[in-house]
Formats: sequence, structure tokens, C-alpha cells
Amino acid sequence: MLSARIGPRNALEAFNLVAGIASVLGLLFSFLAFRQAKNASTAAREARDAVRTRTLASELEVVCVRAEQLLDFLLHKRLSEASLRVGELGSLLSEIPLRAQAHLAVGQVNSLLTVREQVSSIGDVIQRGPAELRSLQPDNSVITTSRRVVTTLREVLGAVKSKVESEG
Amino acid sequence: MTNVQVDLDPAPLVQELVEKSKSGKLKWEPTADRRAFVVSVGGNTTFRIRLVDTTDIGDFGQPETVQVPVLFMLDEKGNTLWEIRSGDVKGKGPGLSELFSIARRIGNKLDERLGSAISALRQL
Repeated sequence: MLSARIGPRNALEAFNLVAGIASVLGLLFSFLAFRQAKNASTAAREARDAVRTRTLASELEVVCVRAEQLLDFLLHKRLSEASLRVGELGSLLSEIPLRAQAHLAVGQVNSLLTVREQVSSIGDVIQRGPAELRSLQPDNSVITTSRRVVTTLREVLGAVKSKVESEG
Repeated sequence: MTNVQVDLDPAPLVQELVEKSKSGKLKWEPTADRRAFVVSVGGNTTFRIRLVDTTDIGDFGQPETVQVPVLFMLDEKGNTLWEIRSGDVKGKGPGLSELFSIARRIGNKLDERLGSAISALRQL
């Protein structure tokens, strides 16, 4: 009689207990799932950033090669090819700072903008006519500016590559 | 909000550029044009200062060609936002001539070259 009366109450308490434990476990699993999702999201973002930084590094590598070719063409007085490189560098240096601003420090963006102006000034001198460039000596301002452009670009590339390496 | 009824005063900008250049915070760079120097700030603005030829009336009433500095403010796309001529900078502060002198000194690394020239002379 007693056990018959207590039985349903025990079953109810047991059910409550199980339900309570299930709720706590559910909460715990939800929290773990949330943490896992957050970690996955962070990892995905980091991976995406790493890919973008790597892409930026390879784009800057192309810019450096173009700048070195520009210097070489100027040293050998191949002005039509140099003019072509000036155009290419102008386009690349207009595009990269705007697109990759999030992955570059302000100082690096400033360097790229300054380099673009320097490249543009080289283009202006080339367009003024070959008379001014007939005596292109290594200490000519066009050559020295071109050297500076290469150096600055290599410095920015070095910083970006170092970031790629640190991101692993 | 833009108030177009009031003329833009370039004097505070020029003064700030001179001060920051003097304190070594602005690294002016030379260009292929020996008479122009550039510097970029904030990742979106470039300043180019350049000597341009202009015709003036000389002491004897004759037209003569003089070189005056002009400051160009460019956006991140290289478009000229503002062209400031020497006459635009009014007030007691520094003018564009002083800014050009400082930009040329920094851009040509005159201080370093002067130091090495003096030490070379001392070794003679």
C-alpha cells in the first residue's frame, strides 16, 4: 500500500532528476558547441587572413620585379619598355593599397602611395622627351628615384613576408 | 559640414607640415623631378611640393621668370584635392618656401651628407 503510494512520487522525482541532469548536460553541450563554433570561426578567419596576406606578398613580389625591370630598362636607355613598366606599376600601386589596406600598416600604405608618386614622376620625365634622358647617368635623379622605389618596395615586401612567416 | 562661404585657409596645414617635418615625423622623399618632393600620411593622403616657374614683374618693370613652391594635396587615387600657392598662405606662420626648404633638406638627406662631407674634409 505504502510502496504503491510512494512509487509514482519516486518515479516523478527520478524523472525530474533525469530531466534536470539532461538540462544541465544540454546547456553544457550547447556551451561547448558554441565555443567550438567560435574557435572554428576564428580559425577560418585567421586562415582567410593568412591566405590574403600570402596573396598580397605574391602581388608585391610582382610589383618589385616590375620596379627592378624599370630600373634595368632605364639603365639601358630602353625608354619605351620603361614607359610600359611605369604604366604597369602605376596601375598596381593604385590598386594594392586600396584593396589590401586591412593587411598593411598605415606606414606601409604611405610608402606605397609615395612610391606611386615617385613612379609617376619617372613617367613624367620619360614623356618629356628623350633629350632629357640622353645622358642617363647612374646619379641621374630618374635612376636614383627608380633605385629608391625598388628599395622601398622590397622593404614593404620584407615586412609582409615576415608577417606571412609569423602566421605560419 | 562644408561651409563654402568661408575660404579654406591653408596656413594651419602648412604650419603643421612644417612642424612635423622639423620634428622628423614626415619623411619627404625625392622624385625624378629634382624640384619636387613627396610624402604620404594617414594611408590616404599624399603631399607633393614642387617648384614651378612663374612670370613676375622685376625691379625694373620687366617680366622675369621666378620659381615659387606649390603644394599639392592628393587623395589615395592620386587626384589633386587642393593646390596651394605661396600667395594663398597668409599670416605670420611659415610659408611654402620654408616648407620646400625643409622637404628638400629631408628628401636629399642633406644633414647626413653634410656630416659625411665634414668628416671627409677633416681627414684631408
